[in-house]
Amino acid sequence: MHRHWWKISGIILLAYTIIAGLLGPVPKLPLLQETIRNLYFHVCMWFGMMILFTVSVVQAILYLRKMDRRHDLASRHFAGVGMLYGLLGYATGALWAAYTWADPNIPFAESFSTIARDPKLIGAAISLLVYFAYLVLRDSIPDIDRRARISAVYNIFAYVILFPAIWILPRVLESLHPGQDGNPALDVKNDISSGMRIVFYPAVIGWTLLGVWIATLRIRTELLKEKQYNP
Amino acid sequence: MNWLHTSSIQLLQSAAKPAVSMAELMRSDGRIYVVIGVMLTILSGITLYLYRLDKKIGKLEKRS
Repeated sequence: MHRHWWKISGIILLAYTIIAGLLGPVPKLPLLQETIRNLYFHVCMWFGMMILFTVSVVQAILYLRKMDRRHDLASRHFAGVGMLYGLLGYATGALWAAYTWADPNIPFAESFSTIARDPKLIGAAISLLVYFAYLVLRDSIPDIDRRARISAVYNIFAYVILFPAIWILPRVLESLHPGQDGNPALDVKNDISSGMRIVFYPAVIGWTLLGVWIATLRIRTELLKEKQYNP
Repeated sequence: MNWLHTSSIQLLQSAAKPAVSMAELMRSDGRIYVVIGVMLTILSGITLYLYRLDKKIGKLEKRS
């Protein structure tokens, strides 16, 4: 049981997120209304993605230093779950934007073309595509050691791309997405009340722990597979 | 007089309706508790799935 405490606490935090996230007090804002509660789910996907990508790049650097296969596998699968979180963040953001940014009075295609041009969305799409290229690159190299080394180097490059694409550019350009001047998720003055952070921080930790759990399961499966083929 | 009788009964019934409040938690507050129930069910399903997968992989690790 002592090795499972973090999985249990992750699930408890997620249950708390759902209950307190839907019942807790939120500021009454025009347009957003109850959708402000998406903060505990949509924004957490991106925070979780960022943390998982950070773990992935640390594992990639560790691989380049120590040349241990375990670090390579960890790097690959943390990036995989990070990409899953990114996709879920994108999908939930699309749904959220459809009911808050899109103008119901003009044809959908018109407001869609405005939304699709949003720099934050394009930045997120670029960074996700760079990570998809990571998978393509990785799987196109048959030699195990070369694959591990090249994809570890590429992983560092992909991580560096995240900073201009999702941290810097959207803050410089005009965007519909909140957080233009300052923090994209936690602008206490304008966007959310400080009370929401009581749910938001545990939610980030809970979602991240769930992602780590999934990644470790995949790493362990891959290690077992390797053992089976070269005992 | 019959119509008066029925309408007074209806009036009584309509007046009595909102007063009856039983175990209505799941129907209160715009039925948000139903959403919480659904989300907790999904979370517990995913947890159960991951837990069983974890145990299975653990068994394979012990064997090899």
